[in-house]
Amino acid sequence: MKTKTVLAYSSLDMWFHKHMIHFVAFLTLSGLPILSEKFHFIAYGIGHSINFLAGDMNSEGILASGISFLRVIHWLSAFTFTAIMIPFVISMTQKVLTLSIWPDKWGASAVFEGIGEMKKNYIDLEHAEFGKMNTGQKASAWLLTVCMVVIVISGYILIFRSAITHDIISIARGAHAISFIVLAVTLLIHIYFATHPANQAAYKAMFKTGEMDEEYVKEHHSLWYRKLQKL
Amino acid sequence: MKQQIKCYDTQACIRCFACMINCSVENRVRLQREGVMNVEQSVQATMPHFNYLTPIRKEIGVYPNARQVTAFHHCNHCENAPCQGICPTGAITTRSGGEVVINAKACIGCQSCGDACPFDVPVYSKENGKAYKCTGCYDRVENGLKQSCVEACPTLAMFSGNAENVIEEAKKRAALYTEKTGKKYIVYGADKLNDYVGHLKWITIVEETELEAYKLDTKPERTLMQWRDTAKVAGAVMTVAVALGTTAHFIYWLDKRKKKIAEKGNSHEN
Repeated sequence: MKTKTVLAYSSLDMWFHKHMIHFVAFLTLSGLPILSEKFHFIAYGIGHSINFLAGDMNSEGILASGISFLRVIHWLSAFTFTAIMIPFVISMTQKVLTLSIWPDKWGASAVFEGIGEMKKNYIDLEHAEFGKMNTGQKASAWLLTVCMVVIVISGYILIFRSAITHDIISIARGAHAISFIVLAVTLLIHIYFATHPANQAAYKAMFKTGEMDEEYVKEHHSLWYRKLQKL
Repeated sequence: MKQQIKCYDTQACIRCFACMINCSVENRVRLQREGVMNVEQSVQATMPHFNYLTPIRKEIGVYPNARQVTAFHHCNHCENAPCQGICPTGAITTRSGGEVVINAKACIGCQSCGDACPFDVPVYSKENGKAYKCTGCYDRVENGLKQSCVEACPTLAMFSGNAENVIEEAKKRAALYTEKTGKKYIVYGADKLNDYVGHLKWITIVEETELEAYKLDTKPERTLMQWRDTAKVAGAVMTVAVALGTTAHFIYWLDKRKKKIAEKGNSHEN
């Protein structure tokens, strides 16, 4: 017998999330060697291949070739990512007030209450009262959105810099790097919880069916379940 | 080689701009020497990116006390060169004499150096997509010659040499001007300006109240670029913390879950 299910993610959510992973991976791998010399090995690997094919094994040009190539990849990924972002942003804007990113309750006590529920779930392994998203997910969703917006705006300032003043470009370069670093650390935490065995149902919903078993929702996302019942 | 620095004495300058002309000539002769251009090409091409030394003439004061001052826009060859720190291709290096130099072959024209420089020095050439700035005539200095701007100065308003000797002479001159004019003269750049740039290898003897007129920034900063450097360190620390924290949580979670399952089993048995 087929169990009753609840729609957790629309096909657009799943499509965008899947491609966002590809593009964030491309943008991160191509951006890290530009950000820090600790990741120059990526550029050296690529630059070595390019210079070998070009028949120029001049050592000072290897890193430059690698970084040049990665910069092109970074820009192409950025343009394409922004393009696929458009339908997602339009869809999100249309239903922004009904999204799960808003707090169920407002105020400092609600935040502490939310953190307490997360502790119950992840530390005490007890039943917690969650909506579709818990407090941590909501906070990270906001943080990721703000970082994304800053990264996109500052990135385009850096690309189309000829008409912009030096001071603004300098701010944009700093903001681009800082927001990426915050985003990267937040993403690591997001990836951990997303792939955690306790969240298998959400993982399956995001990457396979878009749906969750109603019984699972009732047990693990009781606030959301009650909200769905009222609809 | 000992650290080399240049000094510009604002009082001895007669605004002949021979320094600027000789800098331009040297850059063109350098292209001829390296076989990049022939004589005619190098003389006729404007090549604004080779204007490493730009005098900015200005009139200050009110008549009858109005007078001309000449500020110079140039690379200061910073001790902590922010341009070098941010260059993703390692194209910018500091020579043994302290000159901060862009290697054109390794420059990809990303303009990061310009974004990090608090003095707005590196210039991007749209002609060839590379960044340019003063090389401190390191090729001349390393072969026993003076920098072309210093070589041209007829009044010794520009002088150079080992850091200790130049700073000593500059401080002597500043003390003399202070004594003779009754106004306080200082040596800008001789003392560390801040951690972002450190000491400068182009110092200026200037009256303290005229720092602004000579466009000498006492707090050269690029706030967000400085935060960027801090964020890189914080990012590395946070990544390690997240890796350790998540691993520890996962081990804890597995153990706790095992215990919970065992507890449930026991309660069912009872």
